[in-house]
Amino acid sequence: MKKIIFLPLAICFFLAGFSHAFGEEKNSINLFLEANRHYEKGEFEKALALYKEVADAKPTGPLFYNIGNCYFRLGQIGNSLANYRRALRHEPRDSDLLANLQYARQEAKDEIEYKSGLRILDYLFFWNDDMALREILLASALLYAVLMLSAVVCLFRKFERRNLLLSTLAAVFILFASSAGFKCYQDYYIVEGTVTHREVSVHSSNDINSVVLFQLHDGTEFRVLDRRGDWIEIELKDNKRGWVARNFVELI
Amino acid sequence: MKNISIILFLFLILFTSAATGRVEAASLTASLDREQITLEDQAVYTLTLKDAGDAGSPILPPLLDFHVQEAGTSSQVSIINGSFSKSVQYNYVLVPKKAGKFSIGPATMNCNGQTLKNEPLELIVQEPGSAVSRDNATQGNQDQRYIFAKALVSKKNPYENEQIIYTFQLFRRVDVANANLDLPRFDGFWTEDLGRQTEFNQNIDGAEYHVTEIRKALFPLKPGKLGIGPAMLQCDVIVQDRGRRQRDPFGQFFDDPFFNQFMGRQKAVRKNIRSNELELDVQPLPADGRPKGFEKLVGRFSLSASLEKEELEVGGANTATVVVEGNGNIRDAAPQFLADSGDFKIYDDKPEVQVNPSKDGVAGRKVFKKALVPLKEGQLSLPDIQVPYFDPDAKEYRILKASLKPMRVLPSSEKEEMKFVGKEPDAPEREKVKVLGKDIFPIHTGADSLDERPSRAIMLIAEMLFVLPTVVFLASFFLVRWREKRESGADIYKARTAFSSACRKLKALSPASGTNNGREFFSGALKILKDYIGDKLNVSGRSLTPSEIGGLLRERGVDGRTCKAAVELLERCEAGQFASPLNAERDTYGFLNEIQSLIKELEKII
Repeated sequence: MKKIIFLPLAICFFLAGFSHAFGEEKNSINLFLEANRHYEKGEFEKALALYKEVADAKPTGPLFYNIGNCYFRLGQIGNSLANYRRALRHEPRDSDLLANLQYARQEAKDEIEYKSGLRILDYLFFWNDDMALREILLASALLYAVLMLSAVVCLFRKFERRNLLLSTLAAVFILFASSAGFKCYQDYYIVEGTVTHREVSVHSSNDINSVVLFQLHDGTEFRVLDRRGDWIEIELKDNKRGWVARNFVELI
Repeated sequence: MKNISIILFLFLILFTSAATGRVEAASLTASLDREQITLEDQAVYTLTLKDAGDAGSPILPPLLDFHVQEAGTSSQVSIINGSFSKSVQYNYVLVPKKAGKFSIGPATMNCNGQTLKNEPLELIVQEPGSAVSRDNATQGNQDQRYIFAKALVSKKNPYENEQIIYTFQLFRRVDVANANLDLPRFDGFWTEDLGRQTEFNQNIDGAEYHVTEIRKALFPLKPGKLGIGPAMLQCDVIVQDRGRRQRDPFGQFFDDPFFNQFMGRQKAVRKNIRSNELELDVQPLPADGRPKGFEKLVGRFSLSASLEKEELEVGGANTATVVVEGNGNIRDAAPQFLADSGDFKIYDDKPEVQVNPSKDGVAGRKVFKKALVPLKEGQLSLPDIQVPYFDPDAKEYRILKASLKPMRVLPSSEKEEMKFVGKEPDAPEREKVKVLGKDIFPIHTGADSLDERPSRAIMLIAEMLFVLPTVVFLASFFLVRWREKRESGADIYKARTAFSSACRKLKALSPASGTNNGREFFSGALKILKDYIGDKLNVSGRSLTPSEIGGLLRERGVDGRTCKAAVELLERCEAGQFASPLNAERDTYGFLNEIQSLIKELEKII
């Protein structure tokens, strides 16, 4: 008898949870559509606040793209670039995103000469820039499945060159698995950022009284080398290094 | 007991008040150096953090209406009556983007789990030239501005593609340093630089100003309203430190720029000078009377044409040169002339453009050259060349005309058939796509932008692709192993259990178990030995002779001595079945030990 009493309660809890999730989904869509309306009216600050609220719950590529557009319209190139770069992790082949990212980079004031070193892994995994991490993982998983199923076939049917077949498949799988590892390292271990203020001084150490090495402007991209308190050590593409206050940059 | 309670109570109060005192001591305050500024000025926003330890720096409020620049920090430590106090000041320079009344929200700071906030501040930003501007102006020049910028265009309602001159002028009566000029973006215009900046003096309402002027030629690319934003100049203005001079009794005597600088009586004030915005109403080119072949050439131009040779042979090459020159968008000039005909083969050369910027605008010339190869002899006349353009001063279309002299073509001295290889004459002239403007692409508006399911589905598929084939492979592997075991199980089992079986049987054969008959003993021992060797070698051991068994053992790599011992033991067993039995129990045990030793030896090898 007691079980019969618990059953409607369980159903009620399930329905409450489902309706709550559905309600959140609906709320996100409403906020998103409202943000779109503000953007179309030119109310970019309002649109930005709403897009950010939705992105906190659902961090998708198109949302970061829209946030980047809002910042661009507000003249904040650094924040715009940071969000385009975030969107790029989700949608690496979105043509609108690539065009806007290129345009935003042209608007940045600092022109930095790229000093290229020997980047073997970039050449080896040349597809990494055009594929999201999840896509590389899927490709690796597919190759792994083909390798395993081929091994199963080889267990039951002995034929010539089966070792060659299995070795080739294993080599391709290892290549893609390494590519996924490298992409993971690039996306989550290497921290990059952009300057978000009009003019920022780069110091020789994490002390405001230290020597100012050079100045950067809104939109300059960099790589983070170290963090100490409210200071971060950065490196530019031309290998210039220094310390900036955390308040004036946005980390990606 | 009562005293102890009182002491504890006092301690409790003391600790509570001490702890409360520490929490209350941490504070965050904000201040502005001025409450009212103009668009030309900048305000210093200071956040003072008191007794917050090493909690880090405060988080600035959103300041979207200002450009924010870091201006350093300073710290102060004081010990008063034994109490230690430390305050850190974070300074930021706020450069306004627009006029208005702005509320600067509270900065926040997380200190020991407590969120510190300051009171919001208000900052009024006014247009330059207001009362505030005059108050903030250099002392002694209250009625007139000592530095300002102006932007103007030569014409506010030009025609599409008509050249106008944009002029930025900086008027100043003070010295400036560290100047950084950002000109507007000129969206919707094609621009040409008009040389370096010029400087001159100008008297305005009796005041002598030093003027720096920068000019640019602009060509509006489309009709309609086009705006030009303000030019921004950031600079340090050198002003007199008047307060200090008034206190100085010799101030008037040494009131000289040299002494002012030498004695340190000047100070630099950072200023943001911005010019006015401009709006142009660009008129479309009239549709009425637009001549054929008009290529949006607007300005005033002249045309000339010439031939390199007046006389040549059939198959020889002559060069026709057409020059369009004048003021305007000369780069767009494109005269259509000398189409391919049966009389000539014509080859185009790349046009050359020379642009000469001057104070009054861009003037230049565009030179077109064509190689003409006559295909027949005689007096060949060439058609007139026409270049239509629009004259914005006369507000009408005009057509420039030039004619080439007739060419006398003589018979060829070489009677060869001419073969020409070149571009198809009717192929249209190709030109690069002009970029008229730049902008970002629009936002993604579809609700599917929020859909995270495709990503999740991909990850789920990837997980399944890793797990399922692994399970299938492992299941297949164990299945194959099990089948192999099942197929070859009997022989392997026999070989594996041969030793234990032989030991068990030998134990049963010992005299202790009651086997007294000697012949039975030898017969049993022979069977045990043969069965053991047969099981190990996977053959039927009982049908083999001792010498055959010896041969098989040698093939399996058993050394000669062990083989010989095995053969001898087997022969002794065979002989024992028919010869006299063992006499004593001691001999029986000895024989069994020999067999056991042999089996142990063989077990190590096979």
